[in-house]
Amino acid sequence: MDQIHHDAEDIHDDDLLLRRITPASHTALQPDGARILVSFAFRNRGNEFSMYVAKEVSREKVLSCGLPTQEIIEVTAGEVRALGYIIVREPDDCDDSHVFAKPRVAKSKGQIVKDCKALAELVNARDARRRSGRTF
Amino acid sequence: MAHALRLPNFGMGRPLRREEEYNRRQWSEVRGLQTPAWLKEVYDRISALAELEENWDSHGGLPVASGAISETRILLSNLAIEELPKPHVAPIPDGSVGLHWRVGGRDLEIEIEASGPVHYLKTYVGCDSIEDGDVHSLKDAQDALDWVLGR
Repeated sequence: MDQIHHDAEDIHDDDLLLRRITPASHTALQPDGARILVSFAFRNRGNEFSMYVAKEVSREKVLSCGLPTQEIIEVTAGEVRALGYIIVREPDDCDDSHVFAKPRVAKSKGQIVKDCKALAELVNARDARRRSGRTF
Repeated sequence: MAHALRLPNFGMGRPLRREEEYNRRQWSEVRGLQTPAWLKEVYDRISALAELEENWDSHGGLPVASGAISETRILLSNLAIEELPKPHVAPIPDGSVGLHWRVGGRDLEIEIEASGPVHYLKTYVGCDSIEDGDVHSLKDAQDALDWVLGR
């Protein structure tokens, strides 16, 4: 029987979620020297993607559970939910703050790929604003 | 997605007979001798994906399938890529290979699955416009590459 998952109410929309990425694979170098995130950064083997709740764990702890060259990217829970996902707590060997973003209703692989792209572009837009010194 | 491209049956309306398959592997369309300067580097990067072991991404990612690697090389060798910038080559956790280009405000990702299907994702950067689709033929793949160049 399929397990019923619940959106974690104690994780608010403005809470940051952390995800480990592998820069050599998940970022593309641009002619201006900037690195942009590609959608593959949010892909997992299944129809969900793994993250940690930033207010409950340090970036160092999350990185310590990964591989040497990995880095952390951030999205908010609200950004993930806005794409039709719920944030489900699922503590792992690394930390109890581990969550999965799971589709609220069944999604095709194609739709999940588009959602991963949308998240990557949110991160890229934020990085671009940071580089240009804008905060809006 | 079930009808997506299965290389090397590009553009064929029916399954290839055995002798046709053999012939297509032996002969290919004659193309210009110009190849982009980045091609060898990209081929090397694609080949290097074979060395990734399970959990290469620390999220349980599968090794890249040898079929996806060979299909990616076949795809690139059959397309007019001379004017494109170097693609970013990436493993995908389900064992597929990803290619990425961004030219101006156009962003293209192509995903080559181990079993043959190829998919594209076109994004107008900053416009919340993302279009996905399947690549059924070489022409589809070329159209996607031409799109990223603004043609």
